Amino acid sequence: MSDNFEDKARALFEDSVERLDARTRSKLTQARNRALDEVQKGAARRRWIWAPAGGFAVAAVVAVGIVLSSGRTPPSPGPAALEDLEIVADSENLDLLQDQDVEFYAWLDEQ
Amino acid sequence: MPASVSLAAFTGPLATLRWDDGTRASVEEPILEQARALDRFLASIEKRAFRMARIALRHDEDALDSVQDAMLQLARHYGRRPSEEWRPLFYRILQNRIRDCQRRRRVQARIMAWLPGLKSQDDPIADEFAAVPDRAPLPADQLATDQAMQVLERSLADLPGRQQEAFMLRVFEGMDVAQTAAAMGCSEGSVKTHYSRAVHTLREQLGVAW
Repeated sequence: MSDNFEDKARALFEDSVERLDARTRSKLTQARNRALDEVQKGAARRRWIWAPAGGFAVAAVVAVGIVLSSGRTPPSPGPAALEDLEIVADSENLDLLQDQDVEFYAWLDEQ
Repeated sequence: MPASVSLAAFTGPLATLRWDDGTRASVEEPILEQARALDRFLASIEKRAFRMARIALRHDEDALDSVQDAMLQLARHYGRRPSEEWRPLFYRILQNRIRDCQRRRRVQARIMAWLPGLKSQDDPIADEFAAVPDRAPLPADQLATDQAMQVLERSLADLPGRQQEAFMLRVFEGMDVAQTAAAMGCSEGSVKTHYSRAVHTLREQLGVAW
């Protein structure tokens, strides 16, 4: 009895589904297309989610490179530069310069 | 066939990517497959879902809105889930939308009761053509079927919400008790109770007419 009742209800329902009007069918198809568009947009969004992560990774690599390069010891000066430094720093030479007659050097320059 | 038309429109850009670059095709292929599967699933249930929403809401546009919302939510949040999970998830979303709509109507009805001068914009008889009788002659058996369905719809619409859901999911959608419980978000015992009460009430009401 119960089966007959349910079978009849199901048959009536299926009949009403099959006889849906064209306008409703069309609107349902449009709704489905919008839902499928959402899948496409979702996939595109997921791809863009990784873009900031990629940017951060590149920035981190650049930052690490800068830190490592700044930590290196500066290049050592050549032998000529060392000689100049010694001459300038030599206090005896400075004293010698002060003891000389500056006026003599000026006269010599005019000759 | 509407399903193939919509899928062609959807897969256009992805197909182009596949032709341009074979490497990227492997990345896009799962999305294509997912879209195809979702298209098939939605096409298989949309008309029944609309009729069930129509019975619950007694309003074409509200029923269409509810089905469309359910489709969008499923695609947006659960599209990547295994396809076996889609049916109970879809009907769960749809039932929530139907309940939201019914709640909104109750609130509107209360407001309208306080402001009797205003007319609700969601008047169920807003479509003037709906009231126009169809002049095409119906065969007698079709007429009898339509009348029987109308009686069933009225009786179903008068059932409490949970009993209505249980009956429609079990009988119209052909779900078993476990699937119905998943779709309704309740225990299997509750489904059996709601369903049994629904059948009992409907048989009492329709006994004479059927």
